[in-house]
Amino acid sequence: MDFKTTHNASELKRLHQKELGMDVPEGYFSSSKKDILSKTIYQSKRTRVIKWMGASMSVAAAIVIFVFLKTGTNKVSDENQILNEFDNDVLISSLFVSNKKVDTLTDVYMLEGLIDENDF
Amino acid sequence: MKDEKDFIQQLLSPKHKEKAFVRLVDLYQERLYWHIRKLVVSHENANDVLQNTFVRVYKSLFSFKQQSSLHTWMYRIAYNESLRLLEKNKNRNAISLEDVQEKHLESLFDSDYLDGSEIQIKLKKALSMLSEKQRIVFQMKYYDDLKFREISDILDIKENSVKTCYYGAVKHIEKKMLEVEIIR
Repeated sequence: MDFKTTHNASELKRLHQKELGMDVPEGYFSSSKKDILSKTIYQSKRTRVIKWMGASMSVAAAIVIFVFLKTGTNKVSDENQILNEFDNDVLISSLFVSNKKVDTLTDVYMLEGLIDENDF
Repeated sequence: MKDEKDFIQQLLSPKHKEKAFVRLVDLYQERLYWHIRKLVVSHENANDVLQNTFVRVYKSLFSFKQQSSLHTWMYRIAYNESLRLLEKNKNRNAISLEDVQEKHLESLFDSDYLDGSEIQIKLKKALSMLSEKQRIVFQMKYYDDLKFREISDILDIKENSVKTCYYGAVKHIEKKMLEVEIIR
C-alpha cells in the first residue's frame, strides 16, 4: 500500500542528491527509524509498564494496609469477645446460685453494714 | 482512499496501532525527511525535526479529524516543526527568518555533499534568488511532487495563490538560470 506512487524513495534520494547536492549518511534511515520508534511506541510501552507497576504497587500497599488494619481490629474484637464471654459466664453462673445462699449473703452484708455504722 | 481509511482505522485501533505506526514510519520517513531537509537545509536539523514530527504525529493521531488526507496532515506537521526550529534558531541568533534561510543556503554551498556540478550550482543560485514563499512552493511541487491543493492545505494559503507562486517561481528560475549562463 502506498498513497503516493509518483516519487519513490530511491528516486527522491537521486533527485535531491543530483539537483540539490543533498545527501544523507550511510544507513541513516534505518537508525532514524529506530530512534523514532524508541521515542514513540517503545516510550509509550515503557510509560505503560511504569504506570502498571505504580498501580500494582498502590494496590499491594492498599492490601497490606487493609490486612494490617483488619488484624489490629480483630485483636481488639478478640479481647472484647473474651470480656463478653466472661460477663456472660458470670451472669449464667449467677443463675445457678440458690435463693437461700443469696439471702444468707444479703443478711451477712447488711449485718456487717450495721456493725460498721455502730462503730462510728 | 479506502485503503487510507482502513489504515487510519488501524492507527487508531489499540490492537493494531503499533504495527500500523511502524508501517507509517516506513512509508513516510524518507519523504518527510527530504521535505524537511529542503526547509532547514542541514542534515542535523532535518534529523531533529523528523524525530519531532513523528513524535507529534504519534501523540496527535487520536485528534486527527480526517478533514485532509493523512499524507497532507503529516506534511503540515513536518512543515510546522521545521518553522518552529527555524524560529528557535532565529531567536537564538537574533536574526530574521529570511537571514536564517539565506545562511542555510550559504552553508549548503560549502557542504561536503555538494559535488559542485554546473546544474546544481545554477539551480541553487536560482532557488536562492526566489522569495521564501516562492521557494517553498516550488520545492513542494517540483521535488515533493505534491498537488496544488495539498500545498494549499499544508501552507494554509489559497490554491490560486499557490499556483501563482509556483508559475512565478518557474519563470524566475528559467530567467535566472539563463542569466547565470550569460554571465559565465
